[in-house]
Amino acid sequence: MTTIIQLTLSVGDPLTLADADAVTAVAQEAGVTTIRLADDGNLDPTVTAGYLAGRHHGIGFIAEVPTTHQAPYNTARRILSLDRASGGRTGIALRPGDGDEVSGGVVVGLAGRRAGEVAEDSDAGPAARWAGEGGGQVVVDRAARWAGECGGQAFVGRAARWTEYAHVLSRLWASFPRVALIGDQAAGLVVDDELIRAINHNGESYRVAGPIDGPSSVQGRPVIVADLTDELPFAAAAEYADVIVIDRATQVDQHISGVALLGRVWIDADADADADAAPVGPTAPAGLVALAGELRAWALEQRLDGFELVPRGDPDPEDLAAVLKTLVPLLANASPPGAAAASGTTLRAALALA
Amino acid sequence: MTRQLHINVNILNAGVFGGSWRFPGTDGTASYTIDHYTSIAKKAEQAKLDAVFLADGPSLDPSVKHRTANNLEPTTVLARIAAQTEKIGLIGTLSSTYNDPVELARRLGDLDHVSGGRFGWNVVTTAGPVAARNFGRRGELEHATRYERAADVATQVIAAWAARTRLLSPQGRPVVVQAGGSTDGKRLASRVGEVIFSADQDLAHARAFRTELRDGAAAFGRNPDELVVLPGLSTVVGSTEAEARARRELLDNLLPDAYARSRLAGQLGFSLDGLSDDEPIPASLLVEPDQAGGSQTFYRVVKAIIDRDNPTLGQLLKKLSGGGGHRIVTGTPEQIADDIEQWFRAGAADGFNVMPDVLPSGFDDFADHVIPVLQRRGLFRTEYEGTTLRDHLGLGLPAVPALLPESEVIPA
Repeated sequence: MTTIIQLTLSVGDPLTLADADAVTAVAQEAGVTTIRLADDGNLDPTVTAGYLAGRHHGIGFIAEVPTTHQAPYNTARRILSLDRASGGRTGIALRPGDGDEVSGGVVVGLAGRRAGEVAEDSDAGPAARWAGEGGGQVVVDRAARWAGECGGQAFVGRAARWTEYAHVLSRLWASFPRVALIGDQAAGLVVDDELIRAINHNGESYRVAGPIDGPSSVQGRPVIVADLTDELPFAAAAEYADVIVIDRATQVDQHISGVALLGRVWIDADADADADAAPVGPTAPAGLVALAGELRAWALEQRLDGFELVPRGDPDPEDLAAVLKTLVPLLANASPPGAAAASGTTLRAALALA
Repeated sequence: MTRQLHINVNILNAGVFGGSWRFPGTDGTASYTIDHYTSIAKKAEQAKLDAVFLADGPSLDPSVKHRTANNLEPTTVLARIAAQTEKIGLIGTLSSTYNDPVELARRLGDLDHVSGGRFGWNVVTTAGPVAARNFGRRGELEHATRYERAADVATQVIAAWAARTRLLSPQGRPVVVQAGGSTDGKRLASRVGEVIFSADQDLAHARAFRTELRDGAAAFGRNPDELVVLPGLSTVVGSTEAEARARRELLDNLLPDAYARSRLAGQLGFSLDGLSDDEPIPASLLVEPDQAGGSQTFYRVVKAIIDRDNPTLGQLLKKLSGGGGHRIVTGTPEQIADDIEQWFRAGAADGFNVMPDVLPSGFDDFADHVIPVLQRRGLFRTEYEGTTLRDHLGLGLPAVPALLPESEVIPA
């Protein structure tokens, strides 16, 4: 079977949009299955995914989206829109985080009880204007006024929030099946509305009625990627993730069919940084052959389905491209390179998840 | 150079008419594919339009059984259009009620960077309970509260754009677009709006509306010339007047009756069940526009038609043709250009947000036949002079609006 290769890019600065465009072309040629767009203070991954997918039609795109600041209905729509536009080659790397002001204004509205907790959240930023920054009663009243008549929501941990969020996404993505879009011009029927169902989710952190506004994609639903961390243990991630990414040091003793397991590999601008990382630069090729051998041994030992390549230390785009051209064919069994995500194949199929 | 028109195309899925998706020769579900939007945007760029415009609401339109609805999230569509075009402006509608302002500021600012300074944000408050239920609410916030929040969120977002120090946009920051005809909406437009979409059936009223907004902007310390007022204009183009009328007639016949009635009932805020086509709308049920709940803009337009003409239900449905209340012009390219020129010269509009009857065919006709007439008359550009949306609109970068004072947000 084909080894999955996911390449992470942080787009904006110093890797510009034009650089990312060029690297994506090289990556596709080299046989990379999917580009993961990092959410690390650079350009918004859903924006860059939309842009890059408009220019590259034979590779998948995974947008990192945290739960923080993002109401699940909005996230579900954006990712599904990208997925439909890309012909079923989109996924989301859902990152555990906190709530958003729209869904969470409710919590803060409870007579200021939560105002202190929100103010301590360093990630709250200007949202706290509506959500209780400083804990002042006036500000809380303002948030409460906007929060309206919603019921209270209990505080939940990040893993539980992640699971609920992924559950809402999955259900929304199934709420308007493709077959419901009939477009019967003679009968004057756009959809078979019997097939479109509200989800009426009412959970610990979110209350979402649905259904979603557009039909499901050709790949059924977008791919969900999870990073295994202390915050998100295997059991929580595996319930909804299609792809799980682990570090070299992580031991996974469970394997679930239908979930692809990827090992994270750094591509390091500083060749001395890490023996496990792929170095870039003039001496790279010999080192890459040896590294590829080690990584394949790791893959056998941990039953990995592939690798996630993550540039570190902002390598020069041309050096990065050179590493990809050498390393990806060494890691992937794909023949010919690029066949995995060839035009017409969905991401889910390329990941052998379909 | 003489004052120039500004023209956008509203890619309202299959077209503004309720029967658009059933029009002969039209692929009924094309508006559910991305190529529908990117190909119209490319055509709009060839025609040198200012921008494409995408309406939006975060919900499944309850009318979807009988007419196509908006179904792709605007920032994702516009990012793709940005990748496949070079000059055309990109205006997307995003809710101030149902987005977190921190996330919104970042994403929209990034889209402006990615598009090379071509983005505009249409600030809407999102009427109706259907969207509310997707965000944990049982119903919509009251009208005034939605607009308070819109002013607060918009000023926060603009301040965040102005504070950016990296990943900047060639146009400085996105253009702020607003489309409220209500008293609250006009106040928001005067405060932060740069492009104003309006809905008006009547030239004198539109001229008064434009003057009111310009005066309102001045009252907020702004230069009135920083406002570009673009009424919605639904177009039905024919090569002869008879052909245009026949096209309009066909569209009226294709309008699914159940859709037209439910849409009008939604706009009026009461049921039309049991009312036959030859009965007038019961005037006793019509409240004053400022008391209306959902979209006051369209309520106002429809109420004005009822007050003036006292139409039967059937006549009113036909007049609106499922289009909601934007003015419809039907005619030859010369006649439509005459109408556009008349409104423009009378000071009723700085241009139009054009809503073709059927997409893409109605826009192809507009771009191929109406635009050249306007160009020959010296009213519309034949080449882009700049690359950003601000360049196209002739807008500089205004001062950053002040954040909302607490006293305005919170009545005690």
